[in-house]
Amino acid sequence: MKAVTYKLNTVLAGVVGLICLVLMLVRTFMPQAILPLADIPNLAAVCAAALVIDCYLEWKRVPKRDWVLTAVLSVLTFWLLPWAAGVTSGIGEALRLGVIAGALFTIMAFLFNAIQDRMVSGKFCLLAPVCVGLGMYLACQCFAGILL
Amino acid sequence: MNESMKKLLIPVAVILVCAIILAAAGAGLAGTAAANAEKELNDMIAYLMPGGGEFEEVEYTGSDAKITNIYKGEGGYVLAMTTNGFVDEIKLLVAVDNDGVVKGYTVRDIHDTYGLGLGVQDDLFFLVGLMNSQGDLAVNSNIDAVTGATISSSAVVACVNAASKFVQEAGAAGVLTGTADGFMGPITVSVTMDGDTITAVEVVSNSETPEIAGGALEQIPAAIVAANSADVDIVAGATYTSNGIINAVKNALESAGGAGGALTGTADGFMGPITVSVTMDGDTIAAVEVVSNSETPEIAGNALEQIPAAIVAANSADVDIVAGATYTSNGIINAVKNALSGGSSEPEPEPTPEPTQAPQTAAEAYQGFGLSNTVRMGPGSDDTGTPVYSINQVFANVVFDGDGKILAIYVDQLEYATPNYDGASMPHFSGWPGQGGYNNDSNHDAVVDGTTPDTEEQFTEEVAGWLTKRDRGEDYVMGTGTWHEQMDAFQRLFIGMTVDEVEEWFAKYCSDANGRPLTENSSGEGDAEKYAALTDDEKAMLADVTSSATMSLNDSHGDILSAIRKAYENRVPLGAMSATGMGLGLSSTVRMGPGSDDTGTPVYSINQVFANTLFDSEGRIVAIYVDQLEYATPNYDGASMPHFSGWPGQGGYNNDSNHDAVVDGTTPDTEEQFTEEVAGWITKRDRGDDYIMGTGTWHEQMDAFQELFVGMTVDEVEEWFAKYCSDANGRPLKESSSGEGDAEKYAALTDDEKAMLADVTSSATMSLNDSHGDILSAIRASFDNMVTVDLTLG
Repeated sequence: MKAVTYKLNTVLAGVVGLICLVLMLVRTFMPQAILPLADIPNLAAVCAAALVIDCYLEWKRVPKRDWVLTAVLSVLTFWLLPWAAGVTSGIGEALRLGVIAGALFTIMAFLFNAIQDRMVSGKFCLLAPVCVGLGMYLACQCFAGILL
Repeated sequence: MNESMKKLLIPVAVILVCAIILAAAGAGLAGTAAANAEKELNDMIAYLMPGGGEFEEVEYTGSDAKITNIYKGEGGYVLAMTTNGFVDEIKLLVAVDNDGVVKGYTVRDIHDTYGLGLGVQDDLFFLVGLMNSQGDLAVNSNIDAVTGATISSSAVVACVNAASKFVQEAGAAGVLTGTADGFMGPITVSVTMDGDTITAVEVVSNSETPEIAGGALEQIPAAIVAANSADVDIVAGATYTSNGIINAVKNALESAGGAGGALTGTADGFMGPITVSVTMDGDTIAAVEVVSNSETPEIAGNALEQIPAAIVAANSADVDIVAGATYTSNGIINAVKNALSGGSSEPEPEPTPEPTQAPQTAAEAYQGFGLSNTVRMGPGSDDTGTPVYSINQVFANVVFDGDGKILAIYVDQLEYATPNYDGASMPHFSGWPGQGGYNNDSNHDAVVDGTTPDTEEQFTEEVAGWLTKRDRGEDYVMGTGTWHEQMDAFQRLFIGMTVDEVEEWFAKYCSDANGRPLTENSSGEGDAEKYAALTDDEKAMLADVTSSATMSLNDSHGDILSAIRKAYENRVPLGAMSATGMGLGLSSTVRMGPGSDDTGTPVYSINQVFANTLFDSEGRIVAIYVDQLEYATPNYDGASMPHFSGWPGQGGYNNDSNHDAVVDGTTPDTEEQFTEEVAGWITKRDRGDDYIMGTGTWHEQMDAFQELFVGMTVDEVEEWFAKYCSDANGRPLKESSSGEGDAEKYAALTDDEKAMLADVTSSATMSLNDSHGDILSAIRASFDNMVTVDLTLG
């Protein structure tokens, strides 16, 4: 029986933390720059990046996950890190972002996980995670303008 | 601790460490970020308004939520503004010089779609269109929206207009700024003047030590306002700060009134206030500029050009007026006098207004009223994809001579739309109660924020709040002036034409594509060829027209031509009279019922009364023509009643097509049904003999009332109603009136009054104000809307 892993959440925290740091630096040293909005498509891009990286790190394995804790940790990630970086202004706005982005991430991770064993098989399997991540990002475009 | 818990701690620890690192980095970089942001803002302001001097932030006390920060320099203002674009807020900076002319613009934050909304920050034609505007831009009229980005373009244009207007108003209000040295550095003050009265002094910036200078910073401005002078006592212990504030105020006052300073004055012209800027060089008037006015260019153009030059040449405001533009000339002269006296001169006594339409005499004359009802699909849909619809009702009160030539004309229009229409000041209608309400964009940000209440209260309030386009006044800005200014220009053009000639003029000189008067730049299909075929004289005439009127006379926004045509067809003869005023009043009310249909679904209707009046110089009615439109839900079982099933998409309404008091289906929920229903609306006079009442028909009863009201003032009409009509139902009293209190009211009348009432009620028994319509309010509105004319008839 496989053990539950939380590496995906570690990767997500790293990706989100890095992006928040970049945003902070851009805001500090290039104040004229227009920063991207924390909307569904952009959040989907961040989630997809974390999922793709995790897929390569767990190559050829389909990790077992505790979906409840995965969701809780992703909410925590999207709540705390943008707030600490000043990307979200108030605690309420930060929590709202955390809940919505956490739910989005959990759904995407569930879908990704469901097809992970098929992705890592076949002739061009090395490209498959990137292509799936890109496809998920594009699919989330239709949610632009809602919720956030 | 088991293995699973250990694994769980790793991401938790990473999240917390990342959060701590980010928070620490944020705290460490906060100072640098603030300094860089300030430097970048200053650089941007300097770039937007080069040569504008040193800018300082001033407090904004107005109510325009779009304005977030104001930076004032010697050359003008830069305003930081926030508005709602299609996707999210758009933040921008707008630079406006002291004359209210837009000199620069940049978008600071935007999240619109690539290739569409983002065009508002870099579309060359759009940006060029914004430059040098003076608060007079209207999207798709004198500035094209960025392709595919009408909402964001409109939002940006609204900001640019607001910025310009803010500066113009700030200039007119006399907000002065001055600076002088205090103890620790320069002190800058803002001084607000009302004429020659100092109404407010505010220390905008200073570097003084609060513990020492606090008293002076608080007390000196108040003392200056109280004394209306900068010569006030200093505060002990804060001599330098006190003198700094006093000198800064003096500096501000000198900058306005001293050598080389520009003075501002305002006085009434013919169409509204005229504001001038007077530049002094010592005792010499160096320049006079009309900063803002509402005059009609064709009439007042010479005065606006010649009077300022004459004042400079004479170095005095006592110059001759320009013939044909007396009021405009006097307006400029009085504004200059007002400026020279520090805004203190008493305004000239208000003159009797000149007729807005040229004097007319006719031996034979007629008055007519025309109403046209059309629908508009759109503009587009809201952000949820629900369509926007509106209904346009144009109504015209026209006086014709015996040959059918227009002697006087007054046109107004009511447009009401679904509440998801995002334009401000647009009247709304959510459909009949029970239809579910309609998507609502209550803050006009192009984003639906709910559904209107599906209640009878909402229905009543919406209809009671309907304002005509003239009522919407300055809020209804178009490419060239406001709607009412454009309509006034068309009205002047039509005087002396027959209706056929008006239609021929439209056919020859207006675009076949959009119904607007042709210009050199008309781009509709076939417009260029049509314009090229005109003679030079015709082109000059059109240039004259389009300098003040560019809107269409017949498009989806309303069919003005048809209303004038119907007025001609409905005309009735007028007797001998002199009229100095002409008005058209509308009252819109709702009626709950009568009752419900056989399925229990309520019946509703809307009643619109149109009162077309001519008044003499004492405000007495010399002619009146009242008509009424009532349209009801299609389950109303009376014959000839116009119907409305609600907006397309609301499901239609129970239909009693054969008027047998039994519902026999639901009306089609289509745009075709919507169009046909509205096009079929006919007034109570149009319904003619089909509209039978207790005593004769509606039009016969109304004619009797009209005859009664001739010779009365509107006050007297209201008094007559109060004295001789039932308090219970608004009908003229009779011996048999049975409403509450009617018997007592009737008994208190004299025999002569009873005889008069018997005469009235022999032909007119309907109410002048009940759920079937508010005729009194329409007559009152026609008086309130009165414009001056000069008609000698018969």
